[in-house]
Amino acid sequence: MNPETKKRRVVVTGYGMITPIGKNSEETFANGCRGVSGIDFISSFETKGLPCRVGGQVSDSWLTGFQREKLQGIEKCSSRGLKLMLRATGEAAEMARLDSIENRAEIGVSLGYHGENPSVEDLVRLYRHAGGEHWDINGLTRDGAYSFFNFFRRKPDVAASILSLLFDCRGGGYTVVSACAAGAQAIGEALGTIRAGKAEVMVAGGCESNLNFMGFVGFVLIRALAEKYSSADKASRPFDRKRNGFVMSEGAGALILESLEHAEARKAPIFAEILGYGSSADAYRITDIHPKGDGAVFAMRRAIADAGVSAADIEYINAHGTSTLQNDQIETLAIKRVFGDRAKQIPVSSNKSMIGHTIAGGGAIEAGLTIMGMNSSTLLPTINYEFPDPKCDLDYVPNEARGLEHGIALSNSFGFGGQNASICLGKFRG
Amino acid sequence: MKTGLKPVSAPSANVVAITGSGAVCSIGNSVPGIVEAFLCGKSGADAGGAVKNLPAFKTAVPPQLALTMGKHLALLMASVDEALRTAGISSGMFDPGEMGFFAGMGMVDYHVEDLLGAVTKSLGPDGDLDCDRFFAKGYREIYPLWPLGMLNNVAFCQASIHFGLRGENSVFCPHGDGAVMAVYEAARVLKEGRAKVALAGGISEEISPLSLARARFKGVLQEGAKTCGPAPFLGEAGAMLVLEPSGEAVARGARILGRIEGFGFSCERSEDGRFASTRAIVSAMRQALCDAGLKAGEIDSVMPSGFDKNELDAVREVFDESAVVAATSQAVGEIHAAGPVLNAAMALSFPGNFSPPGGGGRTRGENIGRVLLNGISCEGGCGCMIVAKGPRSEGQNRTSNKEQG
Repeated sequence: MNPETKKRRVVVTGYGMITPIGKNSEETFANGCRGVSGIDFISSFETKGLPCRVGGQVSDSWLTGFQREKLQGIEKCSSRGLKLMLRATGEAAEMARLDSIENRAEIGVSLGYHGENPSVEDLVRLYRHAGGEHWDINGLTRDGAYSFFNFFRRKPDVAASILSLLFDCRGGGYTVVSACAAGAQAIGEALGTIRAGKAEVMVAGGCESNLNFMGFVGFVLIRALAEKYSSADKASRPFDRKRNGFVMSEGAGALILESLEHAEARKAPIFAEILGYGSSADAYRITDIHPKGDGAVFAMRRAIADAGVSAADIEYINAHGTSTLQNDQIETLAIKRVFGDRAKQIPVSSNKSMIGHTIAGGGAIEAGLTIMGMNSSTLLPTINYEFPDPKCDLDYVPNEARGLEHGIALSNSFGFGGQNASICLGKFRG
Repeated sequence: MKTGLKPVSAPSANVVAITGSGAVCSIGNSVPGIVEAFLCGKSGADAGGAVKNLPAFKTAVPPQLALTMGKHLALLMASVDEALRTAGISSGMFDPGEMGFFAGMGMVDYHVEDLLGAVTKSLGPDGDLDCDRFFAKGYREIYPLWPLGMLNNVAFCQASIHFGLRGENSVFCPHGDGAVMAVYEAARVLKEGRAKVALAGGISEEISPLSLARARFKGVLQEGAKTCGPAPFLGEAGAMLVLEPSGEAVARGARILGRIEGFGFSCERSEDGRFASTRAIVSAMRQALCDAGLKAGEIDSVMPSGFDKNELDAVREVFDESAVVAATSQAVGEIHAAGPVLNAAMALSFPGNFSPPGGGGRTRGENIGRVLLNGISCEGGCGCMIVAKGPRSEGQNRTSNKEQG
């Protein structure tokens, strides 16, 4: 590691989130401590006939006020995912007193997001204008049935651009689209940007809202979702023997990352330090995780090395823990490869047991909850852990939160296609 | 409150060399072929902006999924393949875990035919969609792996598999600023010692009814334009660079095509929401100059993302009237994330007596050694990078930040 590029320490001066179990970070964390599940039967679209009918929805009422205040002019371009992100970023920005920073060119945005899915109605309109052999492109919007704005809600970078606009961030703004690893990768890229002196402050995080038919049915088709559950709140059960797929959710998480010297100079609150980041590619199969967890191992080892700590220093792991057969078994294997005999002594838990899988939002929400856990000496539980799986034999903090002083943690995110990211977070020690 | 977009960068420490390049676009399927066609005045408009006759790669991916990934995969594979070949990198030369991979990927759109079956199976007697039919069984007509193909990163992951790239990585979306970010990230991981070699570049959107409609609605295209303004047509392209730490590249005997000198980024929409603001583009260019330790006068040529008025105003503000401006968008079309990297690959391959179109105060035909390239998004994102031909020679000193003012 080149000391010239590593010397800048990067701290977290604000965090925010909106999840199925809370309209902000405080509520999410409090409910997480109580083991509350945010998974229920989906009401946002008709699920009759689908093999999976549960998900983690965010209450519309949590978004309404913000829309009235800030989104009047550009709401039509704003996807639901972006609206979730605006809420999370608002909380983080307020916590970090982002408004007080004078030079807005020092503030950048790094967002993990994939844009809005087309609706079923959109498909029909497009079909009608397909005209058999050729398309009547102008006809798509001529009758007003297919909105001009549909195109832009689908574009992932529109969200980052609007985020930059509303929070007056004029540094670099970019959008990371690496599926379930996107939120964590966005944080990792923001870390590198600040370390390299390209920004002093970065709004970093991720968001997603796939609880609509076309977003949801895609994951039904690839048989990735939980299809067997006794009740909705039991459907997401990472590391449990009866797990059988993940539960789709929506949500957003935002962190305000800042160089230590900048944060100290403006007397910003400091909640944690981003110690290191690692990414990797499985480069194995599009549809399968590397069977030995090579990609996950590389990402975790790189994050630990980048942090300048050793595997022995890691005191907690916020797992990707999706509740799929393959992920949880292979993540367990990868943790054992990285930590050896000590693996069983490290508490590992999955926030997705309560929140479900928010895709690009996951890495950022989980990083925020990890920070809150460190600062309150609390490990959030893996709920619905009832039937131990002999292939998943670590300490998953089953069912109940646990008090434990811990200062250095990893947060894992592994994406469809084989992109992996791991973030090493530390309690701020001055 | 301060509102100026002042540079926040410091000069970069280590030299990152460019040792390979690969590209495909509507006027050629290799970097030399594209440069030759460009200098001959060929336009991709004749091919409707499409890339044709791409080489086929045998992949383990199911054929229907490959079809779903469409041009993204083909453009990426072809440009990575050429970039690795020109860098003299073969399988096994590097530890796959030390090979980084970063890309800006254009938007992925679904093909109507991917979904048409589900829709037609779900129509009611009146020709309207019967949602009950669609939800009950119509959707099952969709190819099960279709959703994977809709993820922007899946073609990228397939290329990782094919070429064995397991190192640090990220995918940005979907305009030229994303590709500049990809090159920046590749250079950064090399400087930090997190990779031994890294590929970085960008891939355009596939030309489709949806991408055409989106471009037209956004005002990205000015079809039929012969003069300044947005690109006259949508183009397909892919472009990749191979980056290595200069010392290690020289040690392994690699040919040094050029070197990375600096980057700058900013984000601000113009008031009309149509493009990035002039102020933001100026900021990104000045940051890149500052990062490279260069004065504006030390840039031989500017390759803008196109001929948008805001961008040209920004170039004038930074370079006065002295800049030699060479834009390729009139020849290859609006190629989104592929733009700045294709331009970089071309700039490094232009002959010494290159005579760029676009004019400027400098004598035409003068040797072009150092080029500033922009990747600008219509959503306001600005990326700027500076590349220079060949290895860094002895005695080339950088201007300090203080001298820059």
